[in-house]
Amino acid sequence: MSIESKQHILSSPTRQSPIAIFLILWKVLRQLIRQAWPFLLFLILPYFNLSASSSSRSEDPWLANLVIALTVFSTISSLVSYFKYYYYIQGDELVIEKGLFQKVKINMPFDRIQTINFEQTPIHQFFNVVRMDIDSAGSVQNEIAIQAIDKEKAEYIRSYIMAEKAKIAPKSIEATASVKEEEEQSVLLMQHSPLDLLKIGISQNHLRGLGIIFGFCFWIFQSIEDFLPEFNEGDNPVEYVEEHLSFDFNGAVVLYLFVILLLFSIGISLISTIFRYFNLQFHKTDLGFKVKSGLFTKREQSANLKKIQLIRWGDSLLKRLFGIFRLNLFQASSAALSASKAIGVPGCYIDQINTVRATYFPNESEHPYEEHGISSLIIGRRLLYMGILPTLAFMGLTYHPDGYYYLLWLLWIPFIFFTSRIFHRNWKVFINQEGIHTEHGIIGKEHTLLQWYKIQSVTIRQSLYQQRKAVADVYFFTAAGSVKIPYFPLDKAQAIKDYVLYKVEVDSRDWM
Amino acid sequence: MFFENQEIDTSSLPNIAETTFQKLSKNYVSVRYIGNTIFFLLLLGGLFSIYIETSIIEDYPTLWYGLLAFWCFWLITSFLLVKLGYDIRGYVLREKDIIHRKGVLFKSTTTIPFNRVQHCEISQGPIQRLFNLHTLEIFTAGGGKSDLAIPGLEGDTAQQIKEFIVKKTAIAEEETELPEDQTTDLSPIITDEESSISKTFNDSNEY
Repeated sequence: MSIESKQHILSSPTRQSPIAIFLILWKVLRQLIRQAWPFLLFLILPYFNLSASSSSRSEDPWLANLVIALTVFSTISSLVSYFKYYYYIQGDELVIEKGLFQKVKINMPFDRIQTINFEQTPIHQFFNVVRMDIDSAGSVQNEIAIQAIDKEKAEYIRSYIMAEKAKIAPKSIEATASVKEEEEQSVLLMQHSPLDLLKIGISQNHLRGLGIIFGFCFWIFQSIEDFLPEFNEGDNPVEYVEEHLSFDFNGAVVLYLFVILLLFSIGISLISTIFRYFNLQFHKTDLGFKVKSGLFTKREQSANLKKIQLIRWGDSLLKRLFGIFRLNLFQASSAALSASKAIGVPGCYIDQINTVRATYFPNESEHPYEEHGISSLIIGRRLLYMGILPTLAFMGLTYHPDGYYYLLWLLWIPFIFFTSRIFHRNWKVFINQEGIHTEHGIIGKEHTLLQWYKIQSVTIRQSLYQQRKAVADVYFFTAAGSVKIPYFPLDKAQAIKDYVLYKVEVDSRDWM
Repeated sequence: MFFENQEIDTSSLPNIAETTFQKLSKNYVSVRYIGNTIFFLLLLGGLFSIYIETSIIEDYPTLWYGLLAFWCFWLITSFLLVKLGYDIRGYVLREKDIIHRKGVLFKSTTTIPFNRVQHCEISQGPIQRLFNLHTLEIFTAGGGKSDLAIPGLEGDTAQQIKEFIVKKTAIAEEETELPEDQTTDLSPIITDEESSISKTFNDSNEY
């Protein structure tokens, strides 16, 4: 094939290799089975059950009909998605058109394309085709996958796109190439000692451990259920246990149970902490940061400094007693890696926080921060939604004409009122020329640090109430997570939005 | 002053509130009405299949009338919201960013600078096709929440805006000077060359 004819092929809408029909069909079937396997199992199982009466088999043609219907449906949908799928190159973009009813056209500029990967299953190998995955930074929707394309053609497209991409932005490719060579140098910021592990384990959230215990108890109960007398819906669970398990419920037993549950939950958290964070090492490398940890399965996560969009750190009551913080670095990555988007260090001391802060935001101290609070209207809203409405609901549910216990719920309202006041007082927004630092929390504090140039869209959102009161929620979205300022005065919100847009639009730095 | 100690005066920055929003096509209201009608008819069908299959009206008459009342209430609210939503929904195309406003109960205004746009898509549902309307989707790298979808764009408008944005994203990296944002009228920006591209595209693909 000459170059001209190849280029002609690229610029005119082309279908995938016909092999794609089978591959799409296979994919559709696999998805169907994955979605509906419990249902299918339920249908098919009787057929394997030899003890079942054999007559029922022949009288069940609807199962066969269902299988036929599903097959026909899958075949038609794969044919449609094959015949309605075109790819071509237009200018500096790869264009995909697809869909019968919902027509979709995707333009992907070459400079946004991160990687082009080929994948070959044995079927692909047999027909000498490849599956082409084109990965752009960002969400799942941004991904293009061509199910089957001739290998030669695929390689030509890849080299063409990469060459064009290099022409557009020669700098960025050089940068990534040079960056890969010098990956080795790193500074150890911290290494967890056994004491650190203990601190982290104790200050973890124990709800998960509690959940595991309840799950375990439920499993035990289900396993021995057959040996126990039937538990009817109207039965009192306390009486049931007392009666059948020769178990006496009184204050002491409840207290013991509580203590045992607490110890177990802490134990589970500790064990999982040791498994996950054993010998945790937090490195600062030339590229960014690296975290290694694990007892049996060793995990290594790294965050490229350029890809880090925002950083968060925070503590809780216990963590504050120990003087440790949880640190999370949010980095932009392609959809395939999105599971490990945020890398975290569960127990950092203030020194490491400051190092990370200074690395992410080098000239932070050069620009003095201006402090702003949020509107006090948030107290009333929290009181209404978290205090009064739930209280009324629970009072209604537990109402009893002879008792007064349901009135105890009323205590919830002043509790929410006072915590909301603290919540409002503690919400602080620090703004300077280059970034924003927010701090909030009732007991533990949650900090977020974001540089303006990392932002990629700004949203101002107002409920009807907020519209009336001229306050707004402001969201700064980045390629990895967002920062929200609730109940910010509208004029300030507008001003900050205009300023941020200005900063982003004049900034030519590479933000990811 | 809200921001102190900075190189420019905030009041001189372009203000979003002052710009005028471009409304969507009037037909978009019809699209939403048709969509809503179909949805509510299906719902009504579901309700009546319950009525036919079960003896709900004898057993739980209050529940039955409650369901019907809820259906009526929801129907009226949703049609009202479409109408109110149409007046609010709009977009502004500026030199360096695009603004989209929507929502009645929760009014939100989202702005995406062109130098942060990853790619754009044009899509068209079956009802929109009846009125020759398109939806323009603008994607950023964050995924999900920070993306924009502007529905109800008439004829070539979606294609033209898309070409405009794609062109802007390509050159955005080289620019470093101060932005002089102004509400931009579409027609002078779309050059003859671009519209001919979109025309050939339209011819070949029955858009």
